[in-house]
Amino acid sequence: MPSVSTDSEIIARSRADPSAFDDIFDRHVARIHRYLARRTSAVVADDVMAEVFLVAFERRHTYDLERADAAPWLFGIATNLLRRYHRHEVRALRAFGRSASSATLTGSVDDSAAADTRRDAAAALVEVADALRRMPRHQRDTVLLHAWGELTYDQVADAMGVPVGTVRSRLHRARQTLRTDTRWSPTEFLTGDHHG
Amino acid sequence: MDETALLRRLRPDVDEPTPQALARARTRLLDRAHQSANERADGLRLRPSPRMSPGRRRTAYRLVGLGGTAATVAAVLVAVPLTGKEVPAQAAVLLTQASEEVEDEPVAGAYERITTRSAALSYVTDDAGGVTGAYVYRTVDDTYVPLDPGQEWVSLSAGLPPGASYGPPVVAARARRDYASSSQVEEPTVTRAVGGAFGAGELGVEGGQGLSYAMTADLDSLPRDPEALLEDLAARSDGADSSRAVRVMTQVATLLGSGLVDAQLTSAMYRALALLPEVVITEQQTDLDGRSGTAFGVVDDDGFATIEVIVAVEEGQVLGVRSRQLDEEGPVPAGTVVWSTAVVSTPVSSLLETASPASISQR
Repeated sequence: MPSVSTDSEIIARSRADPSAFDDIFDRHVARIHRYLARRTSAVVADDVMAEVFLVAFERRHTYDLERADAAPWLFGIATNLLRRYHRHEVRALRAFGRSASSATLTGSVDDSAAADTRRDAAAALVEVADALRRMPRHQRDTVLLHAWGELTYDQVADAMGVPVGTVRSRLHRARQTLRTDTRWSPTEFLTGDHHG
Repeated sequence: MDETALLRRLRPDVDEPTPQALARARTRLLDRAHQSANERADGLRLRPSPRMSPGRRRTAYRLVGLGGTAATVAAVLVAVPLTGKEVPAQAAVLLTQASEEVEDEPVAGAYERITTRSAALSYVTDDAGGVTGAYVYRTVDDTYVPLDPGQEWVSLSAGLPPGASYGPPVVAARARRDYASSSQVEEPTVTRAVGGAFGAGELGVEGGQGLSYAMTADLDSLPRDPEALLEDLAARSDGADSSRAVRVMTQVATLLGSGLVDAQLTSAMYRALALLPEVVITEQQTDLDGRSGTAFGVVDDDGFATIEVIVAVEEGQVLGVRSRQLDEEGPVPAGTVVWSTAVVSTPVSSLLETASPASISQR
């Protein structure tokens, strides 16, 4: 059975054979698009997605071939490109809060306690979106690379070029912000899940 | 539900890319790849886009822990209060003095080795998010900058055994376990890049674009006049509503913590800080990695921590940067360093003799 090439092997190959980079596109495009769409919109994500892979292609000569998995590198590029779409992201966060809130409120409610829980959860989602919008950019990037990019702490550190301890500290700060600035509490949401 | 699950609930479902969008993106990529192949056939050399001119220095990895996390000095910890008219004046006097002393070291070797020792506090929390402990995660980086910065730079990064821990013994055990599982334990990471255009840390490298803060790639273009520099840094944004003083201090700390700022710009940065009344002496005499200096800082907007630059005033030398939390957090006392980076530059004559992976962990 033929062995599967690592990302770094493909990138190394693409330095001599540029078309080989297409394999990197195939492997990562869905995840990158999902992350971009979560942070902005599907329309913006379509555009930025293409740009991510063009930038990555141009930089393939500087890619550290010791890193077998190119995902952190690509997510770093994607996050950086998103800075040009800051206004889109701000608008999206406002909209996400409202739509998530509506979705939470939707559904049959058979008792008043459950209805209250749903209303609290819906309001908390609006506040969470607002808290995200007001977070310092580096903190928001850290949180969303982990939560929406689904990167591990080590991968987030790799994407951002900081030690993993810094990622942990930033996530801790973000968690504090969410608890301080919103009515979210783990217990209430857990209850909300049970009712949801 | 933890915060990650909560955030995912905010955006649970998104549309997949349309086949048309995928086709467009792939076509653009393949067109570029085809063009690139033709360039190779024509004998053109493929090079990465230069992110830094030859005068610019290394970036990304060194930007440890900065960029907006705040650090702070609790009133009980600082030698002087953070309010009052005398204290800012003292800070301005000493910063101005330091600005007059700073000077470039004479070039004495084939390489300048910039060593940054960084520490960041990793908090340990319970299921409800409460802090039950913390430990210090440490790294060391050596960057070898050639005499001609347009040549190849070499960087070595290594994890170090964890530092102090707070809380029950299980926290220290977790710190040791984390370190043992670190990818950098067995052999430090070695990266090489022409002109210092390292590929990793994309966010740090490109941080100067658009709305983001000045980063090391911007060093050549930053004003050398203190007032102009202050305005330049203050005009930049991190996308949040940070105060002017916090914006400026965060950028200055980030840049000085890289070890890549030349004497003229360092001097201008000291003077720019002296123009900000919010910048005070947070500790008259402090120790960072065995060297003594004065800490100048501001309290971050959320009141969690300070952002500080530590300077040996009489020499005008930057010793490093750090952040300290103001209040107690579980077993972590007020005043604990949240992150720090100590910077040392040393001329070295040979890369091969000094840049072995084994050497960095021992330094």
